[in-house]
Amino acid sequence: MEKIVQIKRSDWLFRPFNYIAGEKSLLLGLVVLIIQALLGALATVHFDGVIDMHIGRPVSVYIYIGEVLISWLSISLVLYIAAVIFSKSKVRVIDVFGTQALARWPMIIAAMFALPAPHEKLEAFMNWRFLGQGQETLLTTGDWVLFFLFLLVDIVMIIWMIALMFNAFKISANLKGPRLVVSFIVGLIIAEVISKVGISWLLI
Amino acid sequence: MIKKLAQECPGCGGRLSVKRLACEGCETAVEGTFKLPVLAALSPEEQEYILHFIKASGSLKEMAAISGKSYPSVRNYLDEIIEKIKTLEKQ
Repeated sequence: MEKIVQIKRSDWLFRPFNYIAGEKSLLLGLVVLIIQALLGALATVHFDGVIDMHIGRPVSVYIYIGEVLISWLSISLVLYIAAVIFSKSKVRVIDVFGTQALARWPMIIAAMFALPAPHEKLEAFMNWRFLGQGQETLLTTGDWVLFFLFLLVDIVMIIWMIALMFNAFKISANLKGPRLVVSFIVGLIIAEVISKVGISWLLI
Repeated sequence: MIKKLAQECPGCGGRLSVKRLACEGCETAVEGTFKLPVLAALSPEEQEYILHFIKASGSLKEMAAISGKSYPSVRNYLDEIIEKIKTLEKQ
């Protein structure tokens, strides 16, 4: 049978969930989450919230995995509940959870940019310069460029991820207009709080 | 060239109905007032979607596989068509 609709290549950047959802997105999404956690462990980057990433102290790899899974489960659960309440369509759990997992893939790029550890030298400089701790550390122009590039990439990837999360919710919940925007924003805030609580229990 | 079936009156915006049907074979004509079915008021893309949906035995999974779109995408489009049909039926 012929294809009913032509696939727009530009959709793959921000609206890939027009073409992938359900079991496929869940399987791929879980792979994304594990890679994100492992890269985070290598780069000592904690994805300790729905839209958070922070450089921190090295911990067990299971903590990194736990942080990523808790963040994903928090937002997926909250958005699923919002979808059930506000959507007129029959919403599938697997679509919400799967697309939200897959939407987090820009964080892999963010973690990769943290691998050269541009933040470590900056941290050493700040400790020496402002706290009088550690050895004398001077930063070159190259260090500053690397650090700001890392920061810029982080911000861009987080924005991209939020756009993907929004579109994932839009497709999987079939919501439009103010209902979509308000439920997404409120859901994001609630999920962020839940993820922070969940991750703090993880660290006890 | 496939002609579009007009649905709305250009004068007052009311729903058009069929006044005359003709046989292309023997040129017999039938005149009266025949209301257009709701399905005819849908766009060609929507009508094609419904035909594919019926041929797929009403399976959204199969529709998704055929169209290359995701299940929720296909479901959302169907929900839009359902809402449009409900609105047309009320008119």
